[in-house]
Amino acid sequence: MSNLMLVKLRRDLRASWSRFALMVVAIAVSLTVFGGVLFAWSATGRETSNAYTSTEPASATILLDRAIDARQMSGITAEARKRPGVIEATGRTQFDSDIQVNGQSRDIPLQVFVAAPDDPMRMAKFDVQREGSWPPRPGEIFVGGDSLTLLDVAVGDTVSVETPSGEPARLRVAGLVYDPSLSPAFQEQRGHGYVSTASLPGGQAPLDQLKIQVADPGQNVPSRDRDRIVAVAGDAGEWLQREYGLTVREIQVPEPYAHPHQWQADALLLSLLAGGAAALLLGTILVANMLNNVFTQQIPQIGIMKAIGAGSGCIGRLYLAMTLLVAVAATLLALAPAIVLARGLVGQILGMLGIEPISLGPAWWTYVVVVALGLLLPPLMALIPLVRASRTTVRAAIDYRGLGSKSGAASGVLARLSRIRRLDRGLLMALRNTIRRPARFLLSVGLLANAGAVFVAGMSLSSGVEAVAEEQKQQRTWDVDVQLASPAPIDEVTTILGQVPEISRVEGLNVTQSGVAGPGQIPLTHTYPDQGHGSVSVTAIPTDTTMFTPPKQLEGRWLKSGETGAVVLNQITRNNTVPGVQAGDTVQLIVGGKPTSWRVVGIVEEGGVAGCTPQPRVSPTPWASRSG
Amino acid sequence: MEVPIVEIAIEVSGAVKAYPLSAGEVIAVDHLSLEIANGEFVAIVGRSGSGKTTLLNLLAGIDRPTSGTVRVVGADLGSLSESGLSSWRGRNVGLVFQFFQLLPTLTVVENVMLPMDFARKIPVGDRRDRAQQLLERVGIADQADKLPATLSGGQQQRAAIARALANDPPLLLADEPTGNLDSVTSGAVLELFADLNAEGRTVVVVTHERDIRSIVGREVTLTDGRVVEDERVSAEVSE
Repeated sequence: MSNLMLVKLRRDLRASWSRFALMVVAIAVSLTVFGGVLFAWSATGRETSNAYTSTEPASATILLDRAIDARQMSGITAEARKRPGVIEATGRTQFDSDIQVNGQSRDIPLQVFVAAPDDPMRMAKFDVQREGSWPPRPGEIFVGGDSLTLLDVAVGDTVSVETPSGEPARLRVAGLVYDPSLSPAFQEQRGHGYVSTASLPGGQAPLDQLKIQVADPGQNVPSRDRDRIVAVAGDAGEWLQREYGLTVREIQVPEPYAHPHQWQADALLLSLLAGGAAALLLGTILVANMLNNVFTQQIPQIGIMKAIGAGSGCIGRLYLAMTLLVAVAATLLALAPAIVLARGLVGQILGMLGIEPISLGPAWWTYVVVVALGLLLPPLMALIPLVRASRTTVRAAIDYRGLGSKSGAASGVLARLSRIRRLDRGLLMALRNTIRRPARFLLSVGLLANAGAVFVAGMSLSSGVEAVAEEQKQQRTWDVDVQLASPAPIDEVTTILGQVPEISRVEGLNVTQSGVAGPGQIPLTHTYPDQGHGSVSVTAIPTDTTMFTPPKQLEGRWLKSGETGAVVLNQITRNNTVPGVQAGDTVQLIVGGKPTSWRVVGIVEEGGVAGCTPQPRVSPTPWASRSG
Repeated sequence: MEVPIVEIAIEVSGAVKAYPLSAGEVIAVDHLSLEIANGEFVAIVGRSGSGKTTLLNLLAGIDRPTSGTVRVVGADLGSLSESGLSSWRGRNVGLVFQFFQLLPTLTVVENVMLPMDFARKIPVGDRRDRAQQLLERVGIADQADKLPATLSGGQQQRAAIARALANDPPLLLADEPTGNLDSVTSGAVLELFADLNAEGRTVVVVTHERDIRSIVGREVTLTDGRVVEDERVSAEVSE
């Protein structure tokens, strides 16, 4: 492009600076939103993944039916490491306990993770951040850093817990632990503690978990292939049963390399990203519309330039440069706020996940995406008006009166309308003005439609979330849940609770941990180390229930009274545990340690905790007969 | 100035230009044939709607004939693409319109330099000096650095003529160049055309000016798109 064309470009921009400034702002704002969310997504994903994998999480946890001596477990882990596909193994246990801090009871329970003092912490490890290193001395406990506020405990305090043997243990809080493999304590309303077996009564607590890391053939890093992990862990489970006579209660294989709350962050950021993309599209259509108007206004000048020797390429380059300048300015303007926005978002989301970030910076490729979108989208959206403007002939420029060159169908309709005598002439003129330039009209309609779609989508999302909350509220017709430590006859419980003033009604449910039948008929679940996320439980609903409202039916039907062998799955169980299963299919569930077949009669949609934790529903009769 | 080898600057043969309208086809130029030699100063006259401007647009390659051929400065305009026509115009034709048609955001001197940038006939380093000389020639050198909007109508038309001369074209085409000017300024502009013709340039002017006969060498009268009179008013074809 010649110097004079550059001069013209500069002066044209200056002459209509307010319009160009508006274009820059429109793209910059939408690109800031989109870029900010994209940056946040990449940084969150990286930090979460890095933090989670830094703990070297177990590919699978093989849960034994009973705890074994730590020395025997040590021998088993040594042998397990020699098994094909297993690259690391260790023995652990864990338990949940009520807690007292300095003699004061707390409402929040403590989940205690136990390892042998000589555990090398090569896998399922955690970072002891203050005052000490693994292992804690006998009589000491480390506490999760995010549990301090929740439990109202501090380093140096004494906590009392009840161990699996039933004996109490008084432990001094000796240090803080950062464990990004777990969901944050405040979200789960449960504290985290870490002790060695030496801190528990007797000095040598037994262990009931064999944790293994599984690699793909020929590799020495943990596999990302869950099927491979299931196969290797299943073999190991059968080996334990065969070689050591141990009963395997469950094999837990969480999603490899995925933090238990990763999907929450992904879902949130994806919805924000979709909103950002819609905003970007909106901004770009707006700019394309405005550029189209600029090009149209320049038609007489294009005619002059063509008349004195300018080619279409020369004109096209001028207006492409104009568009690119808008795009470049908007992109440069958007980058810094997008980074600031991303840092804020990353901080919030990682805080929600309990991750302490090492860096808040986004991945390099996201810069490329944002810059490419910022630079390419405006010219792309303005391409048709730009090419049309650059191809304007001198004749077309001379004839240009601000009207479309062709009369379309709409013009015909208006011509017919104009024959109606009583029709307001002002209205008719307004209608003609609206459609006299079809491209502008279509871009305006597209812009409004896009804006409307974004608005409606946002409102729908908002009302959808509110509707889910409302539905949950309606389904929950009781005030208090009490989970008993061990099953008890419902009549007995009802009688006892009936003596408590203000309790108007009591109803009992039977909720039991379960899993689908894996290799060797061993229950297989997606359960994470916190024993909550990814676990499967079966709820037996009383036949005469008046408090339980059946959830929204997605497929099939609800349980019939007295029906045997029937189960209703929620959508999470169907998606995560038995993918593809439909009403009418049969599933193998391990209930009470025994593999049993169940006919799926329906799929329901559940929100809240039930929706997050797979919970098949069965009626009590088959439950009793199946669990024996 | 480059003088083309061809003897005939303009050769129109059986040209028809028809415009389709909703009310029916309008014939603006009807089987028109015309030859203009190099160095002639020709006025095309006629009533409104007689086809004068359409003929000029055919000569400038702005319009294409519905049938017939138009050869101008050695080029068969019907065989050139739109871009080819633009390029050809930039190198061979100087165009002057009734309404000045200067680019509003460029100064007067920049407007004059613009065709040089497009045609690239004049070396980059010489363009500003040449533009300044052309403005001196048309008598508005002192207005060189002003924007067109600050100039009077006559000054703008002079600037447009200077721009038409930018690439030293052998042919000047002017459509009602004095149509928007007062009589004194009109006379001065026409004198300018006469001077340019005297240098050997072929000049074709579409005009309503009654006094045009006193300065042109030939007057072609159109009625309903046909040549009804082709009169040589003096014998001054430039050699």
